[in-house]
Amino acid sequence: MSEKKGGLASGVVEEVVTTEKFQWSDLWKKEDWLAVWIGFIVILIGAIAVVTGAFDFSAAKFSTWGNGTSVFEQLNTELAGKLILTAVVLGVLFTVGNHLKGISVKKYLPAFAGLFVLAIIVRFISAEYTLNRYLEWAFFAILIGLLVSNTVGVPQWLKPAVQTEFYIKAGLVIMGFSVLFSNIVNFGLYGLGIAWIVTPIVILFMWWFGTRVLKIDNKPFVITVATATSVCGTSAAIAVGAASKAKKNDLSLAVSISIIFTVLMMVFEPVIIRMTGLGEVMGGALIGGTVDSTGAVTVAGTALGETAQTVAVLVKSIQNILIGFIAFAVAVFFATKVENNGKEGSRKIGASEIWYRLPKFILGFFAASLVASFIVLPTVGKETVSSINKVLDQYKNWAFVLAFTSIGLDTNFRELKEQFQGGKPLTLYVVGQVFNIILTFAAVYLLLSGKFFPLPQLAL
Amino acid sequence: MVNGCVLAVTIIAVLYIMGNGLGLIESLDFGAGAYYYADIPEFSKYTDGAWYSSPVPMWVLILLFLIWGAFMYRIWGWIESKGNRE
Repeated sequence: MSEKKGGLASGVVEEVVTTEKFQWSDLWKKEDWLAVWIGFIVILIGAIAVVTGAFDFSAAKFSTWGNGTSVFEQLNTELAGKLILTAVVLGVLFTVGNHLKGISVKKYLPAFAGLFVLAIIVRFISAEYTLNRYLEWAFFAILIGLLVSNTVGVPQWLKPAVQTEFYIKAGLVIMGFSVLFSNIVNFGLYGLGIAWIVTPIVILFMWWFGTRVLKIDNKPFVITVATATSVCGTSAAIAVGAASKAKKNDLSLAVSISIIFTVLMMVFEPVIIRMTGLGEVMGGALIGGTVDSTGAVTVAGTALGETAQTVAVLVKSIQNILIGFIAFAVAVFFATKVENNGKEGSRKIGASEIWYRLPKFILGFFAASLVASFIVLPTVGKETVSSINKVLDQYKNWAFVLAFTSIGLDTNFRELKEQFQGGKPLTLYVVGQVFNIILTFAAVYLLLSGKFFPLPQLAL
Repeated sequence: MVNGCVLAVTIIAVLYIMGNGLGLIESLDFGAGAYYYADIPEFSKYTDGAWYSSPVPMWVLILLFLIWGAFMYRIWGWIESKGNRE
């Protein structure tokens, strides 16, 4: 038996299994498990394609256009072929998934085609020279979805494809493969100290500040903003938002705030670091530990120099491996402490109930990360795993574009305004980010100033 | 009011930065929106372990990682239960 939380206002995960009896049919009927299968099918095909070299499984990607590069240059048969491949792969997998969930294929298929066309528009716009360099496609996906839903409205035939949760869960499982746990050694104790000591403290501070000081009742939103701020922006927000069953509006607001402030940090942080004379190693580590998105970290690090670029990305790559663990911890925490407290008077719940409440796709995400880190990587080597991830990353991006476009289509401006709660989310982000910068600076100074510990010997 | 001003100033600053192309690196054909392997050329070169050789073995790092994570999780639970009691 399962409890459904229906309606648009329900969480990113709309269905919570509350039964204590496992049913084998859950494996092919429940959305969480279906997302795990979809994710692993894409991973498997991607890996086979790269390892054997028998076929090209790459998904479509628009090249940058504008600033002297004609928009028409990339419009060729190769791009068309890859767009068709991407649409067919995702279309078939999600259609079968929906069929197993009991949704009419006849209704879903044309709806998916419509949503995919919107996703193409999103990715095309976000490939424009300036937009591509400052903002993530998630921003445009929400924007275009909002424009459609708040102007002409979402046509009835398109609604069956508006399934944010399903796309997010499947995309996360695919993303799990790129989260290589072996990266933990890339900067040794220095990286661990900067990325892992600081990050959970910032999360706990923001949790305390958000729930106790600002008194934000919406705990999934607080944890989503906290992880977006302290880990790695959009990717972390998606994973933790899904793990905590955040609402769609929670996710879109957290991601939007993170994306906008990332632009400021990417531009100003290297300037301020240079003014303070912090040096490339410390400056790079500070950037890696505080700037939200990996792309922005690379750009901001490069602005300081080659050493800073390398250190920044090394620290960021260690932060990125935290996503799986933090999402898993958040899922367990919400299942045992947050949901339990609100509903059942804080009674102690058993392991079996934790299992049933746990969003299963998190296990898929985690499993994909462990398989990539400890089975595939030692077997085929780093270069091959990178090539596989290059293919998989695009499918993950397409799944997330479908998800964020769905969020936009499912949201109206009034809801977003209400979500802003007099600016509390902004206060939470700004205070959390300042705390993050101060604490990361303290860790960087302690570990990399050379006053307390020997400086790392980098092969540059 | 303060939050509204912060938001307005932030958005104006972002638009100014974008309009004037501030903070970009000519040699990099990507920016804040780039995702790992898919968008950052040769992203794997940063994570191939060639830049730094850790004198501490991986299992020690993993152990420290798990210990600190478990400790932080306990603290989180304590913060939550303390808040609920209050």
